[in-house]
Amino acid sequence: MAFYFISIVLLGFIAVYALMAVWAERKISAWIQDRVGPVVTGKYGLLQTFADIFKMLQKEDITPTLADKKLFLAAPILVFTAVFMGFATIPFSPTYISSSINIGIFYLLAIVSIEVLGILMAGWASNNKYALLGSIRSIAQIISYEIPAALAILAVIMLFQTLNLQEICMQQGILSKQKIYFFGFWEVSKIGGVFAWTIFQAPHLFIAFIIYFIASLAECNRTPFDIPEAESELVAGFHVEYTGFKFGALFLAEYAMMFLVSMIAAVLFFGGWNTPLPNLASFALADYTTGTYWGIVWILLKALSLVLLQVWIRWTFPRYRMDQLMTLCWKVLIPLSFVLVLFSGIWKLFILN
Amino acid sequence: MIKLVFYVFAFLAIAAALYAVSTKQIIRSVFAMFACFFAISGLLVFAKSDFIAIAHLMIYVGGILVVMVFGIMLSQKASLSNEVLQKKSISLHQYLALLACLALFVILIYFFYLYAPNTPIHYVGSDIQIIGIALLTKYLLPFELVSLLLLAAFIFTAMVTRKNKN
Repeated sequence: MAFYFISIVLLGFIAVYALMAVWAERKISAWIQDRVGPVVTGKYGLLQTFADIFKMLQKEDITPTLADKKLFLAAPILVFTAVFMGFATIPFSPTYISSSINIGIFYLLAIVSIEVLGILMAGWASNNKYALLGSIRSIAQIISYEIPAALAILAVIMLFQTLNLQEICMQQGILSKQKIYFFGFWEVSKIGGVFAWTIFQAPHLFIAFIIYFIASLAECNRTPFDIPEAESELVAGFHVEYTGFKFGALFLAEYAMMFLVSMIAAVLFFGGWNTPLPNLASFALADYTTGTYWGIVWILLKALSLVLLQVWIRWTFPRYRMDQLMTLCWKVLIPLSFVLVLFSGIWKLFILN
Repeated sequence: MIKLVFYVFAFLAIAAALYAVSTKQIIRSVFAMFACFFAISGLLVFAKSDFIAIAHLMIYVGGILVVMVFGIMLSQKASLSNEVLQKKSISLHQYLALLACLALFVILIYFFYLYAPNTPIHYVGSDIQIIGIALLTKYLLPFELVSLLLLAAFIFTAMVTRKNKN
C-alpha cells in the first residue's frame, strides 16, 4: 500500500517540480542579474508558471502547412515519454524503487538517446531551417557527449561491480554489505554519512563527477552548451514552430530531463538516498536518518541542489562555439575519462584488495 | 494477457518494417525503422534477455540517428517539393532485390528450424556478469577480432574524410 502511495506522490512531485523549476529559474536569474523576477501572480510570483501553462492551453495549436503532420505531433509525445520513462529505475529510498532491474544505469543511457531522436523528429517535421539546424546541432552534441558521460559512469561502475542503481546506493552507506573505505585507507562501513559517498571512495571519482556533470549539461541542451537553441542564431532551435500545449510539453520535458540527469548524478556520486550525517561515537546520526521517508528527502535534496547548480551555470557562462564544444569533448573530456577508467581498474585491483 | 502484449509487439515490428521499406520518404522510413527496433527490443525482453534488449536499443538508436542526419542532408530538397517519387512500375533491380530478400528469409527460416533448441531456455539470473565473463574468456578471440574490425573501419573513415578535405 505504501508502495502505491509513494509512487503517486513522486509522480505528482515530478509534475509539479517541472512547473516550479521554471519559476525558480526565473527567480534565480533575476537575482543574479539584480532584477526582481515574477512578483505579480501569487505570493512572490509563485503562480507565474501555472498562469503560463493555462495561457499555453488556451493558445491556438498551429501546425505549419508544409510540416510533416504526423511526425510533428509525435515528437513532443516521444520526448515527454522518454524522459519520464527514465524515472522508472531511480531508487528513491532503501525500500522504494519502481523497477529494480540489474541493468538500471544502462537503461538510463539508452533513454537519453531516445530523447535525442524526439528532438530530431521535432526539428525535421517542422520543415523550418532553424529548427532543422538546431536539431542537427543537438544530435552532434549529444552523441559526442554520451561518450565521456558513459565512460565517467563506467569508472564508478567498475568499483561497484553492478549496474543496478539500488545496489549502487546500498554500497555508499551504512546498509552496505561490502566494506567501504574512505579514500582506500579508513574503513567507514559503520560510520557512513558523507564519508561513504562515491566521490570519497576514490580520489579520481570527483573528476569523474565533473566530467559527467559537464556532459549532462550538454545532454540537456543547457548553457554553456545551448547551441541547439541559441536564440541569437537560430531563433529558438528545434522547437521554433511549436505552439500551445505541444510547446509546453517540450518545455517541461527539458526541465524533467535536468532533474533526471541530476538524480543519476546524485545516485552515482553523492550516495543517492544515503544520509550526509555520519555516525559519531554515541550520536548515531546516520542510523537515525536512514529510512524510507528520510531517503526520499535526501535524494530529492541532492538532485534539486544539482538542478540549482545547472541554473546557476546557465546565468553565469556565455555560450560555447560549435568547434570549441567539439574540441572540449573529443580532445579533453574523452581522453581524461579513459584515464579515469584505467585508474578505476588499478584502484580496484591494487588498493581495495 | 502476456501473450497479447507479445503479439502487439510482434505486429508492431512487422508493420513498422513493412512501412519502412514501402514509404518513399527516407526520413519516415528511418523513423519506422526505429519503431521496428523498439518493438524488437520489447520482444527481446520477452525472451528474458533484457541486457540485449537495451544494448539493441542503444546501439541502433545511435546508429539510426547518424543515418537520419545523412538522410536529411541528402533528401531535404526532394521532400520539400510536393512531387515525391511518382514511379509506380517495378524495375528489374527491384525484382532482384526482392529475390535476394526472399532467399535470405528462406535461409533464416531453415537455420532457425535446424538449430532451434528443443527445450525451453531457462533464465539463469543476473545476466550481465555471465555475458561479461563469457565475452572475456570463451569468446575472447571473436570479441577482439570484431573490435579490431571496428577500429580499422574507424581509422579508414577518418582517412577518407581527411583526403576529401584536401
